[in-house]
Amino acid sequence: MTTKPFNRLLVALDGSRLAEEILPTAAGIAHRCGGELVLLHVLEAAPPEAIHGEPHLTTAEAAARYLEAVATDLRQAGIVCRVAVIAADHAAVASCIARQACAFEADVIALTTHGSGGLRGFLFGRIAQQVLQEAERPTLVARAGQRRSASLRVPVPPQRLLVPLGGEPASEQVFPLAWELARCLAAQVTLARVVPTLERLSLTESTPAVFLPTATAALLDLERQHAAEDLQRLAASAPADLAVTTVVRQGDVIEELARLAQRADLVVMTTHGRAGLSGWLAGSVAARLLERVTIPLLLVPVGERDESAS
Amino acid sequence: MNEPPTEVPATTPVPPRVRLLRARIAGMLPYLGPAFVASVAYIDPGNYATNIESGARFGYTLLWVIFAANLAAMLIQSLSAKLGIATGRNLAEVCRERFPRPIVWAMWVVAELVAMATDLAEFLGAALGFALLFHFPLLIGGLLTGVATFAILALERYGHRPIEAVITAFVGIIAGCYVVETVLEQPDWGAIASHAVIPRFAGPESVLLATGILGATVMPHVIYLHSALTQHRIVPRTSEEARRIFRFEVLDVVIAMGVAGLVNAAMLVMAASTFHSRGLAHVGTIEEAHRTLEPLLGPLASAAFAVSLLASGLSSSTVGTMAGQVVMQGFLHRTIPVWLRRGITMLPALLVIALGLDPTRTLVISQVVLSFGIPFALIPLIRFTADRRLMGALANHRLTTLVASVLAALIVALNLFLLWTTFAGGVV
Repeated sequence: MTTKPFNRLLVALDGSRLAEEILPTAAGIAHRCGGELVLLHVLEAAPPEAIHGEPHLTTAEAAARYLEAVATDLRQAGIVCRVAVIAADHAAVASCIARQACAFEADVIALTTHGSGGLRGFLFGRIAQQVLQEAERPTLVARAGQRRSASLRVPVPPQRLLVPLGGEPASEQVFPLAWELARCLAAQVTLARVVPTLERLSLTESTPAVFLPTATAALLDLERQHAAEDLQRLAASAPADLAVTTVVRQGDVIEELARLAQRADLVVMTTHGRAGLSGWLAGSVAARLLERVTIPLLLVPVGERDESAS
Repeated sequence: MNEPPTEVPATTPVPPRVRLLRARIAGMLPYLGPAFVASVAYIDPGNYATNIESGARFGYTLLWVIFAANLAAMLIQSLSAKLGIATGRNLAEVCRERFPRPIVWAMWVVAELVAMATDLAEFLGAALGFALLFHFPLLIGGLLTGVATFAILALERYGHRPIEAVITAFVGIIAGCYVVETVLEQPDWGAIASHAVIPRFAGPESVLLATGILGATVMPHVIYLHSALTQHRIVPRTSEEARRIFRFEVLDVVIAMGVAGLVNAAMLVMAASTFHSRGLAHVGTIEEAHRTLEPLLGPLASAAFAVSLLASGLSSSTVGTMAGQVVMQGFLHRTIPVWLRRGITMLPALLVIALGLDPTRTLVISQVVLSFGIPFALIPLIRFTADRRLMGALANHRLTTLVASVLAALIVALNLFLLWTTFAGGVV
């Protein structure tokens, strides 16, 4: 982690309006944090004729023209921009984006996920998840179709950050990046923790609870108390000029976080970046939360790379 | 002028310790319901087979084994739960930390074999349930069970357990039926009482069944699971918090195992009165066991029994699969996809079905295999929970360690005796 964690943001664009939906947040962060945007298009080996109902970029020239047009609009709003068109060769788009992030020394990768559902999305994971797994750096991701504003090429800095934390120390690795971002944006921060109820435990956690339900319920009560204390401790460690509030809820983790996200502009959280089948099985909170919220997520990969599917 | 004396109601001051006890009991009351429900989790097809065959072949003779095995299980599960609270790690993880690598691998292999035996019983029970309910061949029942367990695993990843509630209801109904029937039958309570407390055997075959009852009651994979409660979540931060959680765990174990013990005993008593007392000692199979419910359920008995067998098999099978994951993660710090584990562990059951082996007998033998797995979990567990440096305030009292050690010695002796009689006289 560099001292300026938002020096350079790599924004992956495919030429569609949907992909541009990440631009306002990415540009807003770059603008406030004194960073620059690298607008990237990965030229696929056999690109489809159309994407999301719009003509697809099929040549390097067309891609360069498109990216320059986007960059011009952003520069008018005071954003420092560069453009890059890269041929994917035989590599998958996600791998290519991850490699370019390393090549450009980008601190953050930004992209919109189209959430290809169905079997393909389930088996192979979304590009965003694959990028997160391969790039091993923070990824700013938004679900497509959530922004209705006329122009997407203007910076909209997030003003309210929601930082969900789990009980494990790894989730605290979201700091100091979250503090730094909040300072740059002069944003309010809400630290949130959701303690599940007995019925809402994950499959792995609920198995011992089958035999020990009262002890599990008592343990969850205790966890709620501990969570409140932990969040207070973390809030106290925030830079003095930040407005930090804490909230502890009990219930379904995804539902409660989605509710809290309605009063936020950006979610900042850690993730193990498990994609595809393993992510689905692990019930990755980040992946499931992304399906439920309308705001972008800044996902910070942490911990050992998990190869298991449990 | 004399004022009439004001009457002061006489109150006996309540001693502080009694007040504290009352407050504790009041605090625990809201939690008691789930503990009763948890008893269903201890009743699986392995219990069905061992209870029914024991009752049919030996009458009340082995009733004492059910109570002894239940007391043993209460102690062992409590120790395991205590280890989890005190260390924040499960039994397999603590073994990995403290034993040489070859021993850890050997323990993992044993635990996996035990998991396979557990799953064999549960899978076979559910397959039998399908076969009895829909009059399918057993192999079709087996394949349906495979599909159903995959489906349950897929649904339960969402953290809801809607199917669990249905399963619990079915098994609960059958369990309740056995207890009610036992009371209505008005059996010879004197004989039941004496057989419940006086240990006795009736030849090597009864030793085999006793070992099966022990395995079906203690269930080694459940020993590992009890220590995994605090995994992934929180560990109590103070001795007082740890003790509070431990009190709840003891409550869970005592209530759930107590209720399960009564149900198992009732099942054995009904098998004894239905088969053994009529000289039908060799008809005591699971396929015939619906007869034990006929007095109360009449023509519905067959279907109700099949549904409960199916429900308990499917439910336990999911638990068994997840327990296997806990054990592997603990010993090796690796896991395999839950689907792959589910697929591998159902192979022996499908093989048994394909070979046409007697399901009830196979179930009993699988429970005997479980009892051989108990010492591998119990001996390290006693060693760890006696270690004050590891356990802090929750370390065993000397008497607890002594009782648990005697229990471990008895189980090992029972296993060795069974091995000796098997090779010398060919019990199995």
